[in-house]
Amino acid sequence: MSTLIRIWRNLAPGAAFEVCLRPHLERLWRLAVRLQGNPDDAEDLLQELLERAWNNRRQLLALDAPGPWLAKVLYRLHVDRWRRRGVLGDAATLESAELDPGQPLASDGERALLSAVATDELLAAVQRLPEQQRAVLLLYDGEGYTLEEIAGIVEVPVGTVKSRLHRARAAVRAAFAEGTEAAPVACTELEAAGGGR
Amino acid sequence: MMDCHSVQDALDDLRDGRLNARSAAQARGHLRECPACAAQAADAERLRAVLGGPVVPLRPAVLEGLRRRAGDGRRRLTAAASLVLAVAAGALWWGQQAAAPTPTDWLADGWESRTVHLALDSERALEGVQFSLELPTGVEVQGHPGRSSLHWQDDLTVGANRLSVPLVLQAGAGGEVVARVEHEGRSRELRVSLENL
Repeated sequence: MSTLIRIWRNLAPGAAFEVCLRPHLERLWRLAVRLQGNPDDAEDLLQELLERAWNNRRQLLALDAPGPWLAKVLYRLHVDRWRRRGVLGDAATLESAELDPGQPLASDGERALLSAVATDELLAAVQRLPEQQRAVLLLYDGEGYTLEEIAGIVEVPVGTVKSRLHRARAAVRAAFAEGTEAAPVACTELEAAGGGR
Repeated sequence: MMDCHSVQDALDDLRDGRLNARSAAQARGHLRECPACAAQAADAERLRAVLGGPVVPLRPAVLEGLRRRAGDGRRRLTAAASLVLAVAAGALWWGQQAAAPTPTDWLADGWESRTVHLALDSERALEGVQFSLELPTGVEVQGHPGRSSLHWQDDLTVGANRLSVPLVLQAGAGGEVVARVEHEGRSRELRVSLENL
């Protein structure tokens, strides 16, 4: 814990809480926006996190590196929100079909498919991914968390994180390969969400 | 020689510098020779650039909410609260030099570490109290070389409020450490001399 936090901690826990949280707030906000897809829901999610963090401030202030803990709680709250909306059903809707690990993950030729794709179309394709793949893609490519940090945040082994990353990227590429349609599980999620995402 | 599957599996490790030199050279060599894998790598970079783009800024109201949360809204300022009346007792004193101090091998010769303690016993809860700690020449806050004063704002709870500040003292340093507490135009000053060590 930094010297300044130790200084404030002895005076008032409230000040120490704010000092502890402030350096992580911007990154958590960006992650909330990316996960929720819009700033209004992201703000609600962040407020939930602040509430949870305040209620666990003693544990939080004892951590040398509170960032991953905060991200893990934020992710759990995000998943809870998705479940309440009924978007996330059983485990079958969370992952696309297994890809044959013996082959390269894309067999759609030698073109860089995504360079000509507009940003909003790419973002829309990412939004259509199964949630567990989308989340690790946003954590890794969106916010630069390491594979080990992501494994802690989503509470799966590092190998599973890598696997989900590969599948997510393959699915996004497949969405823009000629003659490819979105995976059925993504359509299910869109229908359950009322087509809002 | 790495095959396509191995290279595609290692793209993130290559980008993040986690491959050893030999594997990194093999992977780069493969990417130069293999259009399909080069396309994969280009698409992964495109996706990362898009997902890592800027988001809507965090509203200041959220930060204010954090401060209110940290300030604990259950506290109340009484109309008649004043620093002089509320703070019934204050003291500033040196802590004992530890027999086995925390690792000080980072200290230059002629410097020693000491803690100064500030105690304020308040009859009322006070919000927005201004604190300052002025240090004489040859005395610094640990971890903040060259800094001869601290200024911060915090709240006082009813009863005992304690603050411990780790300092480093240069041999031969003299003078006083002065703690000043201000609230709504009234202030209180506490002093402790280095000669009291």
